[in-house]
Parts: sequence; C-alpha cells; structure tokens
Amino acid sequence: MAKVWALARTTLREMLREKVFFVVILIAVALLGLSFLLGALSLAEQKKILADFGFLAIQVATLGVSLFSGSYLLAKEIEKQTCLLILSRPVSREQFILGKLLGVVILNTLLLGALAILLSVLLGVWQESQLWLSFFEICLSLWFESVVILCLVICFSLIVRPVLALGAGVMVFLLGHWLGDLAFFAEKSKEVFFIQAVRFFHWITPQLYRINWKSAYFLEKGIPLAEVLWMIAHMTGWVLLLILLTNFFFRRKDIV
Amino acid sequence: MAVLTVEKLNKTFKGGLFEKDRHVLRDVTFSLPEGQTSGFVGSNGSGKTTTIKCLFDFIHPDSGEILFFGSPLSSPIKTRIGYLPERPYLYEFLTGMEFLRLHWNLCYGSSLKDFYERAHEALKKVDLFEAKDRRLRTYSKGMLQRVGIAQAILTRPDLLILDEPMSGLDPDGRAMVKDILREEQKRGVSLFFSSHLLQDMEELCSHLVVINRGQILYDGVLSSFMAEFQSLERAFSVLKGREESHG
Repeated sequence: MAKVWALARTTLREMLREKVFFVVILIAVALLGLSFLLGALSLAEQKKILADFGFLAIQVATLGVSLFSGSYLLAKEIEKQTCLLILSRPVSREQFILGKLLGVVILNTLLLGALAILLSVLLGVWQESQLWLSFFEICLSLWFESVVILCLVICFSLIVRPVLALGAGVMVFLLGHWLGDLAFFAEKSKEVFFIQAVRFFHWITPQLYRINWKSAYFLEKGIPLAEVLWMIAHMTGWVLLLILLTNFFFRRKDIV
Repeated sequence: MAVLTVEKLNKTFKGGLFEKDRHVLRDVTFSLPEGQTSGFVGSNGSGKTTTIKCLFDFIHPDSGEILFFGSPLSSPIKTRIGYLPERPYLYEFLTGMEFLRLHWNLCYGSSLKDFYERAHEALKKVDLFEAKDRRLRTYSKGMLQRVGIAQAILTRPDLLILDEPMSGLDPDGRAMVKDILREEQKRGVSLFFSSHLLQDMEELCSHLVVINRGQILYDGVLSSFMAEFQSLERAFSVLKGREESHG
C-alpha cells in the first residue's frame, strides 16, 4: 500500500500543476458566483437557484477533472515513457494504475469537499439541520459519478487515443443520464428494437439518471436509504469492473 | 553464475491493416557474467532497446526465457537491479531529492531508514549534491541523465542495466558518466549497457554482446573478439556482412 500511496502523492502533485485543473476551478467558482447573483434576483427561489447552480458547479468541476486528467493519465506516462522507471521498481502494473487513479480521486475529493463547504456556507445549510443529510447524499452521488467516469476514461485511454477516450467518457455520461428518458420513450413507442436497445444500454452503461439527485436538496427526510444503498452498490460495482478491465488491458500492453 | 540469462527471445510487432508484421527479435540468446561490464552493441534499430524492454517485461516477448540471478523477474529481483532507460523522461515537477525518495519508497515502502545516507552518496557520485533541492525541470540534459543514474545506483544494486547512457551528452557529460560507471565497476556491480558507439565498449567492457537486425551475432569476451578482428569497427562490419550474406 505504501507504494500505491507514494504514486498517488506524486500524481496529486502532478495534477495540481496542470493548467486544466485551474480552468475547471475557475468555471466552478464562476458558476457558483452566477448562482449567487441569479438567486439574488429572485427572492422566492433564491435558495433553489443557488442549490441547482451550486451542485451543477460541483458536478462540472469534478467531471472536468475526471475527463481531462483521466484521458491523459496513463497515455502521457506511456507516451513520455515516465512509467518505465516506475515499473522497473518492485511495482506491479496493477499498483501503478491504483496509485495513479488514487491520486486523481484524492484531488477530486479535495475539490468536491472545498466546493461543497463553499456551497453549504452560501446555502446556510448549518441553519437547517434537516437538510444536511440531503446535502451529503447529493455530494456523495456526485463523487461516485466522477470516480466512475474517471475509471471509464482511463480504461478507454488504453484502447483508443486520449481525445477519443475523453469523447467516449462524455458520451457515456450523457447516455447514463438519458437512459431513463430513453426507456420512457421506448415503452411509449412500443418498437421492439428500440425497447431491446435501451435494455441493452441499461446493462452496459452506469445508470447515472437514477443518482441525479441535484434537485433533491430540499427533501427534508433526505433520499430514501434504499436508493442510497443501491447507488453505492451500483457505482462500486462499476468502479471495480472498470479497474479490472483497465488492469487487463494495461497488463497486456507493450510499452514500446 | 550468470547475472542474466536470455534464452531464445522472440518478438514480433503486429502490423496494421496495410502493414506487415515486424519480427524484431529472433531467438535472442546471451548471458552476462557476474561482476563484469558487458556491452550491448548494435546499429540503430537493431533491437537493443526492445531486448532491454523485454527484460523488464515492458514489452512482452512472444517466446523465450529471461532469468536474473537464476530466477524469473519478480519484486525481490527488481530490488537488486538498477535501470536507466534511453532518454529518461522524469517527473520534472519533483526536486532531485524528491525524485530519489519516490524511487526509494517504491523499493522499500515508507521506511526511510538509510535513505538520506544513500541518496546523498548517490547524488555526490553523480555530482548533483548541490542541485538536490532544485526541480528537475531546471536541470540540463546531462544533469537529467546523471540524476537518472543516481536513482539507478540508489539502492546499491547488484546489476545495472543502462540503455544508451551516454547518448546525446557532450564530451564532458560522457566522461562523467564513464567515471561513474568505472566507480560502480570497482564496487563489483555487474554492468550491462547498450550503445551504438564502439569506442565506449572498448573503454569500459570486458564482455560483449553484438546484435544486428534482431539477431545476436556475438556473445563473449571482448579481448578474444578484438584479437580475431583487430578493431571493433572492423569486427562489427565483418559480422554484419556475414549475417547479411546468410540472410
């Protein structure tokens, strides 16, 4: 574990120097600022607008880091051959991947944590203790979403070029969020092929639409526990599957 | 005992849709004697780097066997080997000291026992002690090559494998790298380094492995090789000529 941790620390330091990271933070802070301004225009809906934009800002920031850093994380190591020195040490390819992945996950967790604290201050969450739970559950779903997309993009980047991996990550993210609507339209259309296709995509895509809880902030009792447990199991399953696939592809790869 | 034995190593890179497969290593077989400096010589594109990458399993050979100290590559074996790739690209945001610490942690986990002593020793050997707290991005090419060597010798390995350690260096840089290698020779380390420059081999090696177009042309003592052909240049061109006329 110490080797994985050493790699994670190095990756974290590397990521903190990436310009894209600061661009993502700027966008997130701009969105939060915009939400504050828009909220001020509408007295009745002030908090709702603030919460909607605030969670969107967190989602954009964490997804941005996952997509951009994930697509180049291993590809850059292979292209620049910086991984050769690391892998010549008593470090397995699996440990190398876990270390790199953990570095970005820590970065995303810190980023999410910082933005969540800022949003909670703007929303005054501490004044409404019954909303703490919803707030935490939404942040947890956004965290899981970013980790799944990160694992997915890293996995794709071992098969295709980083830009295509990034595109594939965006596609899966959109598809995962549209699955619910697609299923609804498929049922309405009664087209067998459409229905079967949507069922197929349900199997091969993380069901992100079921954890899109950004607008559930004002639920006083929080999101039902069964839903939260389902989300944790579903997303953990995807993370494990994607790590296994990434290891499989990386183990077979020749670092020419 | 041989520190490294390579037996019938084969590697073919699959071509694309309209490209032919490239058979880059053909039954590559050689062994390195313990405590000696072995040179791995061949023209550009002859298969030196591919062979070295196969040793560490960066490139998976199609067939063949590789044994270090009589055993296949494993984590305990890796701690006994120091490696420097051709054109080492390093994490340039780290300082020299942090770079060495990363490699120490990868070998020995979080324990820093002996680290500072070994790191200072390695940095002094490569004349980078003064620059140890500077970020690698501020290092010159020669300094990067030397800090790469420092990480290779950090753990006092029994076998050092260096891929073109002197390529792209100015005369001063080359002389310094040669001095470092001579010091390691005195310590009894088995050295294996590749180069396409025959002069380096004559100066440093006692054992020679010659490769051309993915095939081993010679594996043996340098002095007997020299006695047969007078000069290394001549020997290399004669062997290449023989191999090409057979091929």
